[in-house]
Order: sequence, then structure tokens, then C-alpha cells
Amino acid sequence: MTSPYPFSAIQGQEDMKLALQLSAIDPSIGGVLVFGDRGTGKSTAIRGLAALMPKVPMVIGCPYNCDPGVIRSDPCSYCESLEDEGKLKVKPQQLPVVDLPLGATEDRVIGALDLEKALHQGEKAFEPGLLARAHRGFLYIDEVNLLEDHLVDALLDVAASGENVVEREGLSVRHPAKFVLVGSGNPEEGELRPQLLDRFGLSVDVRTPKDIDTRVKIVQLRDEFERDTIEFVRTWRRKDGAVRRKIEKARVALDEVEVPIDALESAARLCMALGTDGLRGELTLVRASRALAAFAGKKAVDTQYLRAVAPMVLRHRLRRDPLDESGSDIRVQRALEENLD
Amino acid sequence: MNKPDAGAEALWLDAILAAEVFATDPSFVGGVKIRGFPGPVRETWLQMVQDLLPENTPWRRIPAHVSESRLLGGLDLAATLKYGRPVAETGILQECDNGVSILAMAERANRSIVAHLCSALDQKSVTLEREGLRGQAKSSFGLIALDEGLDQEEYVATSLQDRLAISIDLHGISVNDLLESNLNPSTISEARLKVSNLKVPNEVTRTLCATCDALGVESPRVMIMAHRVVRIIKVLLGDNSDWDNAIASTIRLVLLPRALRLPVMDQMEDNQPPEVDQVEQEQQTETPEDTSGKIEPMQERILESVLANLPADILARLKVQSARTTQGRNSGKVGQIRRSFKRGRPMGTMPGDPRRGARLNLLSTLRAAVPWQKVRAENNLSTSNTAVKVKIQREDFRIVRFRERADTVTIFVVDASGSAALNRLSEAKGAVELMLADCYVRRDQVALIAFRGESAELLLPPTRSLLRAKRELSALPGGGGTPLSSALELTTQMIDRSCRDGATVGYVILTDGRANISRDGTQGREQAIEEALEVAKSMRFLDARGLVIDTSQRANRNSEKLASTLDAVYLPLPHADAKSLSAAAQANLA
Repeated sequence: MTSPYPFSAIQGQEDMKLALQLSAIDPSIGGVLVFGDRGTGKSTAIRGLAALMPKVPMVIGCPYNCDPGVIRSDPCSYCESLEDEGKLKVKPQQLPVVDLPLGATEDRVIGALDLEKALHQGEKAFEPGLLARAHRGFLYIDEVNLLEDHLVDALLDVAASGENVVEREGLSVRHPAKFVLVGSGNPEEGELRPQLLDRFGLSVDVRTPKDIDTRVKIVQLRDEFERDTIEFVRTWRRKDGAVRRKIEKARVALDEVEVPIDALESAARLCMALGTDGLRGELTLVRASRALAAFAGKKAVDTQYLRAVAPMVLRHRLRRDPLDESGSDIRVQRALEENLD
Repeated sequence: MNKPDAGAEALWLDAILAAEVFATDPSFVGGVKIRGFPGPVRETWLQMVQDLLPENTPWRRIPAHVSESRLLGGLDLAATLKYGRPVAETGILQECDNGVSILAMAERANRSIVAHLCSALDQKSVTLEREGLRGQAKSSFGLIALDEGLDQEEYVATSLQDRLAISIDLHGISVNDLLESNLNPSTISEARLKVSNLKVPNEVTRTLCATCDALGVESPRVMIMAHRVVRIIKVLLGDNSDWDNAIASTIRLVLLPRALRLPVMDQMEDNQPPEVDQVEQEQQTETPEDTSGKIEPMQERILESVLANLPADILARLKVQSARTTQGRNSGKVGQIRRSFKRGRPMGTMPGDPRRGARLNLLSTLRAAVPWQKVRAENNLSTSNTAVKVKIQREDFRIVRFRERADTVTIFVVDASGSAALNRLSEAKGAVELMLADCYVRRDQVALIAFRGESAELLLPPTRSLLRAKRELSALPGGGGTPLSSALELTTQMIDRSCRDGATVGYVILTDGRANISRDGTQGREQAIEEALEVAKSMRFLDARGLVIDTSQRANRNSEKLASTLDAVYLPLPHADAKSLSAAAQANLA
């Protein structure tokens, strides 16, 4: 296995990196949608981030990536039987990054009847799908706009509730599936349904870096990485470690960060001014700015953080004429200026 | 035909170089895309690559219809049932670790296969997550994609293309052009060792990046691959060789096939593009003494020499390329895949293999197995597993069939001729926009054909991106003749293609019916109209619903006649505002 490219060695793409870190700090933000050009390091960033995240204890072999701390209260079937036998083994493991291939079937995504066992032992068993594997980690969907709608529906539902409920083929299974959903795609190839857009917490646009120096730097770093991966990873380990500590600290501090009432009001005012449907916009805005405040090591949210996250939170929630080309970023900026001071 | 011509010879020399580069380190290069029909030329090339690789290098061919389980490996269901224990099968990708895999008919490969290949190329491993088997297998390979696409509508998925460093074109090379190559596998294996130690000087990297920019190649991934290729070529050319040559070859093999624009070389001296200026300035501020002024002429010189040696049709091909990228479609099949074994309304079961994503119907399967139980128990095929209560064999499998609603493609054919421009082209555009918004709501796909001047043009192949449809439409200029017959012919082709992809097709023609240009480009109203009606007669039998919107000021016999010949609904624009038009379109097409 080749080790992933270090997260901190990724040049540029600050928006995307920030959005990913925020959702790693608070998974309840609800995932990131990355729209933009090909080959801009989307999947590299996700893999890199997952690799630098602290390892977490997991039950070895458990198909649901169970957290041993949770098992006592709510064991999955696998861990339960192991624990009864006293064979439960725990090992710190890297957060999983699960790729959802475009052609994946519903069976494979949400899980289905285990055919082999059914046919063979006449046993009705559940075969966990990709959602189970992504529990506690990241689920990455490239070209999410090309994914079949019914699959995206299922995914977003699970991502929002943190639980996968399977009712099919006489099975009735529910298992935890908390993951950070990261979708990427190229808007030129087709748009995402507005209903689905709204479900993603954050959305960022990535562009190919235009200036030659950044581009040269990208090529050189990548070359160094390929030439001597181990050495390269070692050089960047300190920076990656700094990012990790910052994220870890922010995760701990998250609950302590206060959201003053006037910040809530500003958030509400902003969303009203932009006419976003539902309350998801406000909720995400508050969560994201809280995560950012924690990330910055602050005790309370103030407008500065609201301002910083507002574009990525609201950009994709604006009610939009499908044929209107004017960028939503401009509208968000205008609303920011009018409503926050 | 008989004596090798210079253009083909140059192409073949490039192909040889590509073979050498690829053979030096297949997985490092990522892959090669070969455009060309099956035939002796392609076979010679493939044989050459195989000869250059070390002996016993895995060499696997992936057919276009490969199943996912064959590609990635998984449980061999038939064998598993037979022997009563899980029998795993190794996937092709795993088998060709440290080797080469060849994707035949790459332009037809379905999206899930492409997605798996891309992720394997990226991660150099395959992840198994099927049928309770879970694991990761190393799989680092180089991919040769055989692109047999005929026209610009058929091409390898862009996401895959992006990961294959080299792209060569064997069209236009005939067997007679093949030169004897005196390649030596041992030089390649020597080169293989040297490559990792070679360091690429700063200015070479910079030149490559600047060239990418000048050619409109944006993806950083491509730059990274160009960087790898230049290293290998330098080693292959020998220690004393010039970096310039290596760069020039790299540009030919990697960058030019992806170029979206060509810098204008004649004006380069006095009218330099701004980004080059910027490079120079930045360069000067960074390292004032040594490299300033050196980079930019280097880039310029190399580009110039590369461009001077281009085959003549490069511009034509560039056009195709850019059309392709703006299309940005994936294997030409976005959203059109209909798998009638996966979803939709269930419509009974049939015997079949549940391995290709089809759903097994357990009840029917058991029912099919029941009559045989006694016989099977006597034969006792699976002695190893007596605990098995029901003996099920492969032929018992019953899979569910589904009926699915087909995608809808609406083709808009817009008359942008001078007469139509006079007759409220803008209103027609408004009507189309409204209909487009409708299509958006219904998640239909939209294609756009415009005709003016000498011929019709496909502005937009079927797409869901309404934004682009609108952009194309509003940018559509008016003026010129009315080549109605060629527009109808293009429409016929589009309908044909969409039907073949399994979509339900409707078309909307907006015209004033005053055709005055025939297919061969000659003028003459009567002849043109007659010809258009001729084409229309044949369109009648296509499986598509039509709507003709008359954009002329006064109702006009021509368009009415056209509509009746097409067996389409006729709707004069003067009597309809955009709203009612769109309603009519919906009623008639949906």
C-alpha cells in the first residue's frame, strides 16, 4: 500500500481544505460538496485528511467499525457474539475513507441479504454495505452529479440521520453509519437536483490554480513524493501533526464554544435575506462557524467567523432560476455586507 | 499509398517513442490511449510494447463488457455452491499487478468499469468489498486504452483519459508506413533503473508548466504526468541528450493531444501572451542572476519547433478536442444507462446470473430448485457439505426483471437564418428557453441543433446542463441562408443515436420553412424545399414525436407542409406566446 499524499503538502485550494477540516471537526455539519475541474486534488485532499486524523480504537474485524466505548451500550451483532465469547480485540485504526464507485448498486451501498449464507446455510443474514464500512470515517463520491438519484437519496438520508435502516428482502436491520459525506463533480456534466444540493452542509468550488508558480510547485512536490515517498511523508509529518493537533483540540473545545444570541440573530437575518428554504441553512451556518471558532481556538462565535463560512454554507442553498447564470457568491457577499456589520 | 509519406512516418516514430516510454515503467506513466482501428498497425504496436517489457510481465486484455466481479475479483458463486465452501476468484486488475492491462473498445466501456479503473490507477490497489470478502490487493499497472471511436461523439471517458499520460493516434498510418524498429529491451531495462535517479531541473518543470498554460491544459494531473514522461524520455535519449528534445517529445506525446488552443507563434516575438511576461517577471524577482530570460525563450523555442513539425490536420483535431471538452460528457452516455435488471417496476423473474448487479429472487430460486432435491441428494454432488439442507445450483437462479421509464431527450432544432432572424429569432429563443426550463423540471436531456448559412451544426449533444444549453442558445448568431434539409438530416442522426441509447426522443423544429440551401450547398428555393420535404418523409418513420413551430410573420404554407410531411404537430408562433408554446410542447412531446 502506498501512503497517501500528505494533506499539508497540498498547494492552494484553501476553501476546500478548510471545508474538509470543519466537517472533520464537527461531522454534524453534514458533508462537503466539491464542484470543479478535474485533477485539482479533490480525492488527494480527502485521503490526506483521513490519514492525518488520529487513529481511533476499533473492534478488529467488525464490519461496522464499532467503537469499543459504545459497544457496552449498543453492540452490533458481530461484536455482541465476540464479546460473549470474550474474544473482542480492539486496535487503534485509521479512519476509513470509502470510495463509492459510480456503478455501485443499491445492494452494495446500503447492504443486503447475504446471498451466500442464505443459499448455503439457510440463514438469513445481513451483509453490510459501503455505508457500514464508512462509519466513523469519510464517504467519498466522485462525480456525485452523475450518480443515480435514488442512490443519492438513500445516501443523504443516512448521512443526515447517522443511521442506516434496511428494510428489504425480509431483513430488518439498523446500524449506525456516521460519516462525513464528500461529493465531488464537474457542473458542466450535469447539475445536482436542488433538493439534494441543500442536503450538503458545505459547498466549495475548486479551480485549477492559474499562476505558474503554484503549478510548478505542485509538480515539484508531487515529484518529490513519488521519488521518495517515505522521506517526503516524514518531512511533512510535522506539519500534518500540527493540523491533527489543531483538529483534535477543536473537537474537544467544540462543546465549549458559545454561540451568543446576536450571532444567532445575524445568522437568521442572513438566511432570511437570501431567502433560503427551511432552517437547514441557519443550523449549518451556526455549526460551521462554531467549528471554525473552535478551530481558531476561540471561546465564542463572532461575526468574523460567520462571515468566513457564510459563502460555503449558503452558496448552494439559494433559490435559483436554473437558467440564471449570475453567481450565487455575489449574492451571498451582498447579503453579508447588508446584514452583518 | 505505396511509399511511406513523411507525416505518417513522424506519427509512427512518435508511436515508437510512446511504446518505449510506456514500457520503461507502465504504472509510473499510467497509460497510453491509442486511437485507431484494429488492424496490423495496432497489433504491431502492441507487440512492440510487449517485446520491450521484461519477460513474464502480466499482460491482460479487458473486454469492454467485463463484469465487475471479473475485474475486481470476488466470490465464484458457481464454484462456491459446487464445493460448498467460499471459492474466491482473482480479478483481472489483481492479476495484472506490475504489468499491463489493455482495455479493448475503451470508448464503449461503461461508467462503473471506468470508475474502477480510475480508482485502481490512482491508488495502485484494488479494494474488494464484495460478497463478504473484504480486503485490499496491490494492483499497480499501466493501462493501454484502445480507442476505436469513429467520430467525435465516441471517445474514451474523460476521467480515464485524464489519467493516461500518453495519447497517440494510429489513424493515417498504414502498414506500408511501418519502419523497422531496432529496439532493444535491454536499453529499456537500463533506462528503468536510471529514471528514478534523474532529477528534473527547475527550468524544465517551469517550461512544461508554462507550455501547459499556453496550450490551455489545465489539469494539474496532466502536468504531473508530463513531468514523469519528460524524465523517462530524457533517460531514453541518453545521457548526452538535450533536455529540449525531451521536452519537445513530451509536448507531442502528452500535451498536444489535450491542447485546447494553440499559441499564435508568428506574433510571439512582439506580442507575447501576458502569462509569459508574468513568468519572466516572477522569475526575475526570485532568482535575479542566473535563470532570468532563459526560461521564456526556451519555452518559446521548443514550442515553436514542436508546432513546426505538426501534422497538417492538427487544427482540425484540436477543434474536435475542444468540442469534446466543452461537452465534457462521459463516454457519451451520461444519465442514459438503463439497467432493466436493477430498478424500476418489477415485471417477473427469469433464469439468470445474479452476479451482474441483478437482484436474485430467492423465492423463485428455491422454487426452481425444489423438484431436483431428490435427484441431487442421490447424486450427492456436494459431499463435502452434508449440512446443506437445500441443494441449489447455478441453473436455479432466478433474477428479477424491472421495467424502467426511459430517459427523455428533446432535440431543439433552431433556424437561425437571415429570414428567421428577421422573423423574430429572439422570440423563438425565448420560447425555447421556456421549454428548456420545463425540461429542467422533468430532468429531461436537451440537445440543440442550429442551422444557418451553409449547413446545420450540433451545438449541444444531449445534456442535462440547462445552463449550457441556454448559453449556447443566447450566443447563437443569426443570418445567412436556410439549409433546412441538412438540419433535418442532422436531426435524423441525433434521433437515431438517442434511440439507440434507449431514450425516448422528441424534437422541436423552429423555422419559417423558407429553405433555400440544398444539401450540397447550392442555392435555390424550390429545389431546397423539395429536398427538405424529401428528408422529412424519411423522418416520418422514426420513433420520435415532433413539433414544428412556425416562426414566420404570417402563417406559411411551407412550414405547415413540412409539419404534415413529418407527421408532426404544427404550431404557428404568431398565435402563441411563449407560455402556451411550452405548454403545447409539453402536451405533444411528453
